Amino acid sequence: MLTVTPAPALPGVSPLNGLTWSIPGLRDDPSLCLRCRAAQGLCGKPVCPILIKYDAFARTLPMLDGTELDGSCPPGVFVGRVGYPRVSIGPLVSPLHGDTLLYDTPEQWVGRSVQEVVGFRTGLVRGKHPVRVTDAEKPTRMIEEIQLLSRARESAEVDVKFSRPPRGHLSLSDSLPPYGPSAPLQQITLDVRRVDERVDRLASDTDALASVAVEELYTRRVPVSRIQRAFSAGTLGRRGRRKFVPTRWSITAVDDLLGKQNLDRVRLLPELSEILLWRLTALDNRWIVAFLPGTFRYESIEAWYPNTLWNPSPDRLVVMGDHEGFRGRTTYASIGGCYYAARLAVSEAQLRMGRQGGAVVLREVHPGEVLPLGVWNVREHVRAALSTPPLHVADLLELDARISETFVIPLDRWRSSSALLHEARTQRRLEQFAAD
Amino acid sequence: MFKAKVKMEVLRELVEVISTLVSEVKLSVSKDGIDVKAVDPSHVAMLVLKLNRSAFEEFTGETTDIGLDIEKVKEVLRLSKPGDVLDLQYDGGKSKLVVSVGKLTRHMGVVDPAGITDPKVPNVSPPGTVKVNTEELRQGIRGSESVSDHVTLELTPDHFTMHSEGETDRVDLKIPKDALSELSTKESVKSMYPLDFFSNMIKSISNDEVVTLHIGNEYPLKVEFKIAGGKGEGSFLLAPRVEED
Repeated sequence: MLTVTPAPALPGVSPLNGLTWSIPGLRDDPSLCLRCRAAQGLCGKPVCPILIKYDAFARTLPMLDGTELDGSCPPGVFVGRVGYPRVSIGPLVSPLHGDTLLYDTPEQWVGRSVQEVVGFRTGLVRGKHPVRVTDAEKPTRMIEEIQLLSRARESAEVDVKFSRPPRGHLSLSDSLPPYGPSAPLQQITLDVRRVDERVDRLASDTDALASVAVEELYTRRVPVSRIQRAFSAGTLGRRGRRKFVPTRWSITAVDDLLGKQNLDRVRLLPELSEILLWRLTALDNRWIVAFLPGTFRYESIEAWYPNTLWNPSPDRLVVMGDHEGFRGRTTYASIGGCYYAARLAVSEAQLRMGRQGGAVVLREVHPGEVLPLGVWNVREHVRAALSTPPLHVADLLELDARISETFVIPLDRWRSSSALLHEARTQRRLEQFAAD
Repeated sequence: MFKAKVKMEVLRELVEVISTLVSEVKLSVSKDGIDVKAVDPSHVAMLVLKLNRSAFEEFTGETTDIGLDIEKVKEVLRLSKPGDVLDLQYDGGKSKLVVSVGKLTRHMGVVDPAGITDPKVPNVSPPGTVKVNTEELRQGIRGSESVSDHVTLELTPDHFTMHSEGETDRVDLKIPKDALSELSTKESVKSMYPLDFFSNMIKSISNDEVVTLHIGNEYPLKVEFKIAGGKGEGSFLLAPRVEED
C-alpha cells in the first residue's frame, strides 16, 4: 500500500531543494528511497546519496590516531552483514571509562534528542574480527571473549589492539543506531565483572531452540536490546545450530519472534469494546496509536514529509503502510523492521490490558528527524506512547477528528491509506442482520 | 460414540472448507452424518455444512459433539495419499479421536466442544440468485486480488458482474444471462464484500463445478455448494461492506 501526493506546506519550514537531482529514478518513483533505506542499492549508486549528505557528521568524529584503545564496552557487540556468510564481529568500545551502559541501551533513549543519541554513539569504536557465521561454536579466544561481552550485564573495562588506527564515518542505517569508526581487531583483553545470569543460563542450554531461548529471556524480563545482542552473537540455540546473526537482521528477527509469541496469547483474550487512542511527539515524529473494538489485527503507516530522511523529494509526500489480519502475515512487510518493532509494542500493551483489538499505528515524520537512528526509535516510542493513559474515543467520527488535529497531513490522506480504518468504517458483522 | 471410515479426499474437502474460517471446530455427530456450524472470530463470515452418512465408506454414529484442532487433522492428511481410507473412532467425553491410516494410528487429543462458539445463524434470504461456474469465479478473484481488497457482486435481470476497484485500476468479470445456468432476480442488486474472505471461500470449494450465490443490496452473501460429490452440502454467509458516507 503506497501513495504519493503533493504535500501541504509545513508551518515554519521553508522548502529546500531535495536530493532528487542526484538519485537516479527518484523522480519517476518517489518511494524509491523509502523502500530502500540505504539497504538495497535501488538507485544503483555505490554509496547512498542520502547518507553522503550526512558526511558532515563524520568529520566531527573524534580522531583516534593510535592502534590501541583502552576504555569501556557498554557492553555492545556488533555483527556486520557485508560479505555474509563471512562477516565481521566485534565489540563497540568507548574511549571513556566507567559506566557506559546507556550508550548501547536504546530502551533508555526515549525523551532524548537526536544530538544526544548521536553523541552517545559517535565515540563508539567498532572492532572487527572476521568469522564465518557458522563459527559461533568455535572456541577461539577472540570469539569467546566477544560472546562473553554479549552476556555482560554492566559495562566492562576493555583493552583492544587494532592492526591499524580506526577510521571511517559515523555509520548510519535505518535499522541500527549509529556508531563511530572501525578497525580490524588484533587483540582483546577484558574485565567483565557481571554477566546477566539469565542470559548465561540459556547460553549454556544447548538443547533449547534459539526461538525458545529468546522467549524465555523475554519472560524473565531481560531487555529486548540485550536479548537481541545475545541472539546476534550466536550464544543461543541448539548445539551445532548456533550462528552469528548480523545485528541489523537480529533486531527485526527478535522483534518479529517476540511479537508473534505474544500475539498467540493476545488472540485468546476477550475483545476490546471501545476505541482507545494514544499520542506522542518525539524526535520530530508525531505518533498516534489507536486500538479498535473486535479481534486482533494490525496496521502500521508512515507518512514522510518532503525533505525528510528517506523522502528526499522537495515537494512530495510519501505514505507507506502494511497491515495484517487476525491470523497474521506470511510475507515481509514493505516498510521493514519498523512494522515488527511497533507490533511488538502493540502486543505488549494488549497483553497488559487483557484485551485484544485492532491496532493502528500512524507515524508522521517531519524534517526534524535528521539522521537515521534505528528501529529502536519506533519500538521504544510506541511503547512510551502506550504506557500513558489512553484517551477514550466515542466513535470513528471522533477518531477522525483526533487524527485531524494531531497531524499536519490531511485526514483524507490517512483515511485513504489505512486499510484497517476503512474496514472499521465499512465492514458489517453478520449479527447486524440477525433480526431480519 | 462415533465410528467411521472415510476417503482421504472427502476428509480433505471438509477440512479445507472449515479452515477458511476457524482453526478449531465442533463436529456434531448424529446417526445421519455430521453437521458443522462455524463463525470466524470477527463475525464477518459463517459456515453451515452437512455431510451425509452416505459420504462415508462406513458410518455408525450416536449424537455426540467432537471438538477438533483442524491443524492436527491436516497433519494426518499430509501422512496419507490419494485413495487412502481413514478410520475414525471416538468414544465420547475426554477420550481421544483415534485416526488410523494404513498401519499408522494417531490418538488425537480433542478440544472441549463447550469452549467453541456455537454461532446463531442469522436467517438471511437475499433476493437475487445466480449459479456461477467456480472456475470463472476463481479467475475473477485472481484478477481482483492485485487491484483491491474488496469486491462488488452485482446481479441484474440480464447479467452477473463482479468488479474490483483500486486507486488506479479496475477489474470486471461480466457474465451474461445466457451463459449462466440460472439467474433469477426481479431487480438489480449489489453488495460489496471483503475479498480475502470471498477468495478463501471460493478457493476452498475445490470439487463443485458450479456454486450458487444469493445476493442482495448491502446484504449478506450466501454461497451454496456441494461437497463429497453431492453427498454433502454447505453454505457460507459473508457480511457486506457498505459504501462510505
